[in-house]
Amino acid sequence: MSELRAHAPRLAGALCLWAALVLWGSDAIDFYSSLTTLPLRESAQIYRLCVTAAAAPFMMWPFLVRSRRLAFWLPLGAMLGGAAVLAMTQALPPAAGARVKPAPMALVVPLPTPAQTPSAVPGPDAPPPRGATAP
Amino acid sequence: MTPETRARLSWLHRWAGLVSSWAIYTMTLTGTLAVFDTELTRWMQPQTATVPARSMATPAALEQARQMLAQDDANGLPPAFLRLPGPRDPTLRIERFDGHAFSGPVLDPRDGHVITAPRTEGGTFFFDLHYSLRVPRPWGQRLVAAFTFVFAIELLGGILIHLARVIPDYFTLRLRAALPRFLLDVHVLTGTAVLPFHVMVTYTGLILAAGNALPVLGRAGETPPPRPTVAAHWAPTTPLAPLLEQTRALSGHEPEHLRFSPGQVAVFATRPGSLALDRVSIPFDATTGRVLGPPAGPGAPRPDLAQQATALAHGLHMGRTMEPTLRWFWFVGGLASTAMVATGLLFYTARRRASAASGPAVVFERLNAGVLTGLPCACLVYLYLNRLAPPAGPAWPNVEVGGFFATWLGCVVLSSLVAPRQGWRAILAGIALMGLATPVLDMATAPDARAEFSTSFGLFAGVDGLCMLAGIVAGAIAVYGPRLGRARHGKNRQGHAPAPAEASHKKAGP
Repeated sequence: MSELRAHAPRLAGALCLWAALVLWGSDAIDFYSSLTTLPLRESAQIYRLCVTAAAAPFMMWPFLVRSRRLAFWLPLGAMLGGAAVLAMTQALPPAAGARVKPAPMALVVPLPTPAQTPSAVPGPDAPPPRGATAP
Repeated sequence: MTPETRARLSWLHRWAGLVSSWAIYTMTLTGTLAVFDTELTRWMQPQTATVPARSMATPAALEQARQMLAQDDANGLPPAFLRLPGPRDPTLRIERFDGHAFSGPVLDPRDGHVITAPRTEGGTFFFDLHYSLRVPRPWGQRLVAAFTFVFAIELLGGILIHLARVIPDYFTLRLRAALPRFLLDVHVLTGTAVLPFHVMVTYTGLILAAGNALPVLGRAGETPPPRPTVAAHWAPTTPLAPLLEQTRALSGHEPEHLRFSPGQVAVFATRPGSLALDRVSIPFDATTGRVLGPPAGPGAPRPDLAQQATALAHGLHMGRTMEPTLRWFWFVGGLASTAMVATGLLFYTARRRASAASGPAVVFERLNAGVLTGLPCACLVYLYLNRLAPPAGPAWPNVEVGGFFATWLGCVVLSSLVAPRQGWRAILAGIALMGLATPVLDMATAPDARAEFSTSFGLFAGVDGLCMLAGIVAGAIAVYGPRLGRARHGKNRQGHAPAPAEASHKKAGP
């Protein structure tokens, strides 16, 4: 338990770094889409492809630095900075270029009859059959 | 790397492993089985063995399928998928998603008659357990994404810890060392032997789960507004055979499945023998059969870089479009991942047992026995129930799935009630018996054993052989595992000094 207490700031730092990735990533996608004509959905796909590979080493950083304070406060700062920027961008009106692209092949299903259970009706987010990519 | 950094990484590796290893063990074992999910489904529907391999869907069979879809539509059922015959499964299937898996009637592709096969989730059950742990959407996927993240961190931590000793560890397996040392050797060996596979499958898994692992917030995370749900007919009225012909001509690949929505039929074709899941979709008018748009998707003439990268990640992780030999490599790699996770857990309990003979360590050891041995036992029970339990109509898949979880729970309860060694032996003996008896079960319950031999010998012999292999391995562990452990403890009880390997391990730690 004492070990856990000793490593708690580093653990919290790792979680803050994950949150920072999410927040700054959301900011970056929003910003990039406002500059280009690329839809938000595709910007998010590119961002995730790039960041996924770097996320695990990034989150391990608090366990690699010597200073426990640095391991906690720097990720916390990064997370709060990302949250602040996101809050500011949400307050501004959306840029003209930014748009949400509708799903190209969303399934439009008939209204379920009383005999059907809700789980039996595949919604637009229902996965394609066995390993198919998302529609 | 300084000793302090190494100690911190060891702590992270150990505790991240302890917190997530049961879930990761489940994910790795079921993911390994899901490599052959189509084959398992066919084994669980032996009636389909009468269909010759490499059968093609005839226009008559497609027309029969279209009429069945129209009947479903008239009855108010939701849209279905039509899965076409392929190299791994020569049958024609109308599949519907039930929240966990795809199942539905099976048709003979030669004439379209319905094959009276049991309605089962088949191998897709393992696929579902792998990517959602059977937890309802979207929480299951979120949970799996979190565990994948933890696994990536564990893997990276393990690599950094063992970086200086990768080459020596690669050639180290001390069979006669103390039990913890032996387990650590197996853990490191299974980790380093197929390290590129572990890295590849973890990172491609993270990319697949990125929607949940790295959510996008704010305006960028807004989901597109759902299309208005209208009561519209989705079944096509145009004949399906010409659509498949046009797809072959436009994409150059064999069509794989069809999806239906009001007014539209999308035909999907996949490039075979490829590492990437290069899928092309071509939309058709459901009434006239006219092409509505150009081919789209990663396999289309000009896909963008992101599409190509995502298709490569999907293809590498799932191995669906690979040749069978490569898929076997994926299966062996998955088994190595499973062994790595299991031996890591066992190493922890064996090491704790050496220092504490009671308390939480013993409880954890008992639960470990139940979870680790209970899962393969439950997988075998799942196959046995498919063949032995009487057909129960639409609720049939629930019997198999219920039996699977009841067995797993039963194993955990059993191992927590008896001594750890007895728990291990009892469950492993059960696995050994069931595994070795699987070919007998197959022969005894197959409706047409001759057809199995003539049309799909490799498939049925492969599944039977793997079950037998699991039985042999479980039997060997049941017989030799405790004997080895007892020998080590006996030596120590007699007051002899611990073996040099054990002593050095106690000094160094993992």
